[in-house]
Amino acid sequence: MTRSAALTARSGQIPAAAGSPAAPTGAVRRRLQLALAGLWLLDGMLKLQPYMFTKNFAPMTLGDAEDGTPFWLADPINWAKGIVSDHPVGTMVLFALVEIAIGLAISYRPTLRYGLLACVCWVPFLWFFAEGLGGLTTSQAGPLTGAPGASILYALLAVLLWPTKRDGPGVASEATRFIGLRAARIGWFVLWGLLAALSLLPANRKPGAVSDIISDNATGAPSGYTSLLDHAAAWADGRGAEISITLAVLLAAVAVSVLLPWRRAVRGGIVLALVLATLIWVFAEGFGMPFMGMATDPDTGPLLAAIAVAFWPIARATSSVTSSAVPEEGSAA
Amino acid sequence: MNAPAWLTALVSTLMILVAAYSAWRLAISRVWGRATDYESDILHFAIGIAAAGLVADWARTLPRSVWTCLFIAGAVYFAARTYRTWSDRPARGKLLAQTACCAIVVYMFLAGVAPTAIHGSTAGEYTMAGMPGMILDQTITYPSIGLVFVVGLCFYAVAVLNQIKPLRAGGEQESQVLAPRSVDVCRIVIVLVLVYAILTKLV
Repeated sequence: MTRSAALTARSGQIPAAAGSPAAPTGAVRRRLQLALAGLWLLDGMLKLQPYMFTKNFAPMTLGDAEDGTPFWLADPINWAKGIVSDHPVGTMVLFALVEIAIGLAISYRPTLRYGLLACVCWVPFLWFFAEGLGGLTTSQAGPLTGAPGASILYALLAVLLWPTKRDGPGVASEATRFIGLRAARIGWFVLWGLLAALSLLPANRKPGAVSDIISDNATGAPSGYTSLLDHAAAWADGRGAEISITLAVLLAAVAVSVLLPWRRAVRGGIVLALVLATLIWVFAEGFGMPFMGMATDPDTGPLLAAIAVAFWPIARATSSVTSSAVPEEGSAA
Repeated sequence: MNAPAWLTALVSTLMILVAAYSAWRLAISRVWGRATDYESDILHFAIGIAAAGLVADWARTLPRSVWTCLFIAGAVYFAARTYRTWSDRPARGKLLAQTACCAIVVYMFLAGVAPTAIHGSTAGEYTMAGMPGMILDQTITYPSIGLVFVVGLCFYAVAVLNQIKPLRAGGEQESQVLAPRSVDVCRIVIVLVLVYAILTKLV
């Protein structure tokens, strides 16, 4: 075993396939950061829709987050709902400006660190008050109902994509570059393992659970998409248990895939994660339901996909890649 | 539903300022002997005036059919320029973006993006069906295409901002050009206003 191979084995880095080209690591990381910025910008712009300024917004959107939550969560959400309901214009303009600013700050290289830091600071507030901890405290939480909440996934992505020049055998993917291999693997396993476990909750195994979620997305959608959802809902009707158990098995497979020592298995797990994220987004989340001017964000599907891409194994032609290949981001910050 | 009146007024004013700044660039660049991208400035001037009228009624200028024809002509011109400069990758990217921008504005005029038809503002009111004072605004046709454009424009704004060099990074060659970063800032502002104009009509 060569020295580089020994380093690779010790760190858990999966050896590259022979002849595979070295990836332009800085470019991949920057593209993921820009994807995160684009989603924040979209979120902020969605919050400037006329519906957000009406008194209907707070009871309908924050009220949904409050449903089924314990008192220690319901009471603060109710308090926040009162504020937004009393001052819909001021609060929503503020929310929109904060999110637009986060998106723009991440996009501009010198302010990248500030943008990501603002994202990490803003998200707990959103996750608690606006999403009710992603529904995790209720018996209805599941991967098809938006758990664990889009906000917390934004924070996870911001941490995974924090600008760094770190490189070497311990860097298996963009996700591991800043927080390290072990922490990244734990994060991945907890996220996808949690989704698998939530799939098995009794509420998600009811015969009509999945079809109800799918048919809810048809409201206000274009006719072609409504037709697709109607067919999917009809097929899923009465099969809630089978679909939830199958989904749980697939999500569990995704969760353990990054722990496996084979590159193909890791890639297979990530491809499966991308497919599941797409299916969840299209059928269960209705693209975030933007068709009636009431969407506040594109939901968890794109974020789960972005996280999966961040875990894609880095191909290395040689065991040692010099850090000079990685341009420093946010150096002026 | 519609947005608060002050917000639409602010957005329209912003567009008029972008148009005025672009016109000023066109006028002053020759006087000061500094280079400028005439195509971008002319496009920003036209979109600034047109988009202001799409958001607020008081900023309307030419009839919608005239604006539609103008931007169709613009899209054809930039598409032809893109075809002719296909081998020049940086120029191609910018011209493609300008072609797409013209096409999106044409969509906005044809799909019915327009100032609100409601007298007053619904901000701070109950507006949903079954609620007291139900108020609905006109919506656009083909909203799905509009949503695709909204997503595309958001990511385009991010891409433009990513390419802006920090102030200290400007070279000698760049100093011959009249405030090139401000053109990109105008582009981002225009893109965000187009996104806003489409989203306000998804009601």
